[in-house]
Order: sequence, then C-alpha cells, then structure tokens
Amino acid sequence: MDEITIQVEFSGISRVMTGESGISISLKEGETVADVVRKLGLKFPKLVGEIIEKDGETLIPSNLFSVNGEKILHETDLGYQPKNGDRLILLSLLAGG
Amino acid sequence: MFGYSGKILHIDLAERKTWVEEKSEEWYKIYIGGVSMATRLCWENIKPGCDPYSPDNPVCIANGIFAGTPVPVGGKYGLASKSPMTGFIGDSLSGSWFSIALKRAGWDGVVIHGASENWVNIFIDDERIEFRDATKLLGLGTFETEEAIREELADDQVRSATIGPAGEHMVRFANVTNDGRQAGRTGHGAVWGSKKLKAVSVRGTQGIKVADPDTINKLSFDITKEAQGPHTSKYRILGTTTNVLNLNKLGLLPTRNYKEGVFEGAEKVSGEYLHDHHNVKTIACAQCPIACEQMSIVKSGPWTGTMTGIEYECLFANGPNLGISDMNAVIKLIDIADRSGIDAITMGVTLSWAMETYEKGVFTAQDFKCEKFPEGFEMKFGNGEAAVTTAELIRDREGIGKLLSDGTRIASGKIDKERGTETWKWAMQSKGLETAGYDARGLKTFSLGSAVGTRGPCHNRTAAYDPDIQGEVDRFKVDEKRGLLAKDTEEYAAVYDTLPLCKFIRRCFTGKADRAGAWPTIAQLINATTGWEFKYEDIDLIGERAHTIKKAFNVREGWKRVDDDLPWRWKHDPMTKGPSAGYVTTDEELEYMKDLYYEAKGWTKEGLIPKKKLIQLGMPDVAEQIGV
Repeated sequence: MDEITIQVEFSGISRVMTGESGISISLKEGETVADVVRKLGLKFPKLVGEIIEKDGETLIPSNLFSVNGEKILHETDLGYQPKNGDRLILLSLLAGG
Repeated sequence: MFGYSGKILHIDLAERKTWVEEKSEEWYKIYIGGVSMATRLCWENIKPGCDPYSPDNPVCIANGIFAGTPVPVGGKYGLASKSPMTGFIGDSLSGSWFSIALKRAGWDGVVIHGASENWVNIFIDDERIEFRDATKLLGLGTFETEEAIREELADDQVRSATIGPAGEHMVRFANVTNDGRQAGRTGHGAVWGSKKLKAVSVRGTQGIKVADPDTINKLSFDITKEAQGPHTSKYRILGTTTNVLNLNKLGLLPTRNYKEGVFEGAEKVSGEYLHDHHNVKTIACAQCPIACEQMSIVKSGPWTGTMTGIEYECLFANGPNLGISDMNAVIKLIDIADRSGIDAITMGVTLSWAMETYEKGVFTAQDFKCEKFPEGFEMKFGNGEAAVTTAELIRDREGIGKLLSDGTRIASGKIDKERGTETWKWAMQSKGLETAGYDARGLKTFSLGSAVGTRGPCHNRTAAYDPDIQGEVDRFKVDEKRGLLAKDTEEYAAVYDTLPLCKFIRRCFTGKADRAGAWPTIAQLINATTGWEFKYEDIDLIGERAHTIKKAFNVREGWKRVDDDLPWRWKHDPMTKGPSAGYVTTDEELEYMKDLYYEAKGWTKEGLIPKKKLIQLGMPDVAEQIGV
C-alpha cells in the first residue's frame, strides 16, 4: 500500500508541550485524522490529557485541525483522510481577549 | 432577597446629592446584572437623544450576581452610558476587586447623573457617600491614580475605577480602568471626563447573603478544580496571545490596517515569542482560578523596563496591524494605552489608518510635526517609534493626536472633507467603533455578527466566529443558517456578559461549552445564590433579554437598518495572500444575512422589535416606547 507524508504544524500550547513547530508524519493510504491523533499521542505523551483525550484517540474539545489553513475539521470530522503533502495545523483556539 | 441588596445608589454630581432607589425582585429576574442591568439603568435614566458628553448621559454601573461569592470568575461588573464613539449603547465589562468592594458596600448598581463643576472622586464608603476633590489626581495614570487614592485614604482595601490622562482630555475612545483591568471599547473614559469624574472609589465591609451556601461552595469547588485542567491550560500557559499564530495560519490575522491576513513577522510578535522572551508572570483577576493575563516586560532598548499585561486584541492591533514585528514597541504601545486609559484596539486601528493614509500620500511628514519632531516624521507601517510618538500625541490630544483622538470615522470624515480624498474606505469601523482582531472576510458568520453588533463590531459581544472557526459551517460561504447562528452566538455571549461570568470558564462545567453543557450548572449557581427556581430556558431568556434591551436603547436613539454595516474594505477589497485571499462579504450577501438574522430574532424586516415580542420578554414599558 502506498505511503503518504503530511506535515503537522504546532502552535500555542501544542508547540510549548512538544518543543517543536511541526513534524512530518507518514500515513498509509486511507489512514485518517484519527490515526494522526493516535501517532501524535504516542510520539508526544505530554499532549495526552491536555490536547488529546486520555483515550489517545480524539482531540479534547476546542482543539482542532485545519487542512492547509483553509478547511477546518470539526471535532466530528476525524474520519477525514489527508492527502499527500497536506499541512495539518493543530489549533487550540481561544475566544475573547 | 438573597444575592442582591435590592438597592441602586443615585448620585448627582451637579447638586452633590444622593438618593437610594429600591428595585423589585421581579426587576432583578429580568435584568440580572452586568451589561443587561447597566443598559436597563441607562434606559431608565438617560434623556433620549442627548449628546453623549452632556450631563444628561448618565454613568451606569451594575454589579454581577456572583461578585464577592466563591463562584469562580464571577467578580465582574457592567458599565453603560451612551457611547461617544457610536451614539448608541456603550456597554462594557471589567473584572476584579472593584465589583467585590461595591457588592460588600451594599450596592447592586450606581447611577451617576449630571456633571461636576470641579474634578471629583466619589468615595462610596458603605452607605456614606463623599465627594472628594480630585484636583491633585489630575495627570496621573490609571494605575497611579488607584494607588494615590489608597494612600490618601490610608486604606489599602479601597478599590477604585479611574480615568487616566486620555479620559481627562476626552479622547473619544478612553477607557475606565480598575485593578489593572479595562472597561473598554466604547469611550466611557471620555464620558467620565466630560463630567469631571476622575474616579469612583469603594470601601465595602459588609457580608453577602446567598440562599444556599453549601451548594455554592460545592459547585465552586468543582468548577475551580476543573479550571486547573486541560480546558484552561491554553489560557494559563500563553493566554489569548496564542491566537496570533492561530489566526495567521488561517489567513485571518489583521495585517497593515487589514490589507492582508498573513503577517510575515508573526513569529516575532506571537504569544509563543512573548512567553519565551518577555514574560514576567501570569496574573489573575480577583475571584479567578485561571489567570490568563501575561505580564510582559521590555528588557532592552529605549523602552527598557516598560511592563504591562498583554492580550491578543491589544497585540494584534498594535503589532501585525501596524506592520510592527518589534515586540518591544508593541509592549510600549500597549503600556501607553493601559496607563493613559485608552482602548488599545481602537488606538491600534486608528494608528494603522493613519499609516495607510500616510503611505497613500494623503498625510505627509508635515502632518506629524510635534515638539519632539519639529519636522514631523514618516508614519510608515513598521515604524515603531512613529507609532509610539503618535500614541502619546493621541493621549495628550496634541498635534495630529487631536484629529486621531476621535477615532477613524470622525478623523477620516474630516480629512476627506478637507482634502477631497476617500480615506473612509480604509477606516476599519462600523457604527463608529473600530473592528476587532478577526478578519471577517474569511469568516462569513462573524461578518454578520460584526455588522449587527449593538455596540459596533465586537468579538466579545458576538461569538459568531465560533461556528466558522470550529468547522461547523464553511467559513467562506453564505447560507441560510447564518441568521440563526448569529442570533444564538450573540445571545450565548450575552448570558455570560450579564451574570457576568468570564467566558473562559465555559468548558469547566461539564467539558462542553454549548448551552447543554453550561446552562444547567449556571441555573444551579443562580438558584443557590438567589433562591430562585431558574431552569434551562430561563438562562436562554437572560441572553435574549440582555440583547433586546441593548437593541431597544439603540432604536430609541435612532438606529436604522442601514446602520448594521461592515467597513468598506471587508465588502470590496479582498486580501491577496494566504488561505483567506480573494474573499469579501458583498453588500448582497450582507443584506441577505441581515434578513435571515432579523427573522431569527423575531423582528421586522427593518430590524425593529414588535411590541408583542417585548411584552413576552417582560418589557412592557419598552414595548410602549419603541415597539412596533
């Protein structure tokens, strides 16, 4: 099965917790954003309980992904299948200020 | 009555007299507190159609239902007058110790009438009211004024709401400041300045009675515990400044007077950079277990030692929006705003209008002549020193600062009349209030929420960016859902602004921020405080009533459908870079969404409120005056 590579970008507390501005992740064709969340949780355990739910499978509400800064994935869109070269931006959105 | 004293204090500055008004429990059930009660007090006490700077425009303060109780983030009050920025309702919120002191002094609200002949500090010492000469306080900054009053009264427990030099000079977008927090946006500082009211100080020594202390304590403990967890870590670690990079990545970060939504220097003025290079500590309002404000310091260069609290909105307005990537200059600009008592958003957006006007050749260096720079200076994007000097001129209303101190609507009107130009096209305002830090061209629901805002385009009064940014709808497209979404999000925000509770707590009740997640706990908190029996649907009504009384105020002041508008740039001038490039909200789209919105509200096509609707909401006297 073909592999694709995507870039996951961090900002806000995900950048503070990972110490990285982003990483590349390889996915098998057909793998979804839920698989990305799982891989992130394994690579960066600090994210689990803060940005990723303790089950390691889903994002804690108010954290979400944008695909290339355009499409924003609702918390129910974890079945979305990224395409090769996509930028998945992990956002911890705030209101007010 | 539990939770309230039942008393409103009235103060007449001209006659130097005071009186007490008692309100019924039914009145409190309708208007609750915060911005809703403050607006209602304004409705009852203003002379309709008055000049905002006339003695007929009252200062109305309304406390929060939870101020002084253990309920987390409930230490807030509302402030309302007719806004000199918009000519409509000016409703603001501020947090911290002032509201708690006022509650302990036994007052649910304060209405200040008339104007004083000499500068005055009103001292509310429980039931005793004193008119104190404030001449010695003139010229002091906001923070310094609070300290000077504490020293003068020899009591470090006295809390004050004050104006700084900007309010004294009647800078139209001056703030009222207490405990380092700002009641901002709508020009309260200028209204206070017009009354020669330098400060209101409070010493409160009484207890606060609640109906069910055990339930209040249990719920407060649970919420506080939750507020130490993942739902607030983003606020605690970086605060709202984290939005700089978030919005930059979505192409929504206002850059160079909203010409673009992507800033090449965003990393250098990001919350992450601030955290790593300038952070001193994170501080909290009174009664808040979260602590989101990032106290930040300049460590090198001409402004070394400058220190103030930084929030996203101040940061976008005075950083990317000015093309400035030097965080030292940004901190200095925000410090000038905070200490002078100026709204940092409007200040930044007015400076960016001046920069664009300079770069387009309408202004020249000659327009910026001042004592410090007799030949003037280049007011270009990215020039931090020019921005700092101009901010100081605004504060003092000197030189070009006199023109700019009225905000972009008036300044552009004057310049265009004088020079035959069209600078109004890049004045980023609607209803006279400058826009907030989310570019609405890439957020269709938010563009509607901004256009219909009762105090102007405001990120705090509408939460209409939520469905756009959270992927609930396609943020680039208009559809039939937007009217109801704008209604629901503004009324949701109005619940928090009326209690008031800081919105940052909204996920700490059950983990879900929506109505189903928050309303049951909020109802429990209200009932345990007051002994009432509010249900889920009563919480919805709090928001609808709060928004309705504000709209009613505007209608009585002459609001028309045409006033619900967007800045010209957001309708005609698309961005050229980034993920949100190419989009605008056209006039056709906006008018279509306004139709949907008025329908969702149950209003007429012209946006007026039917009598029947007002009577249903428990506002028969309002129905009588403005209902159709």
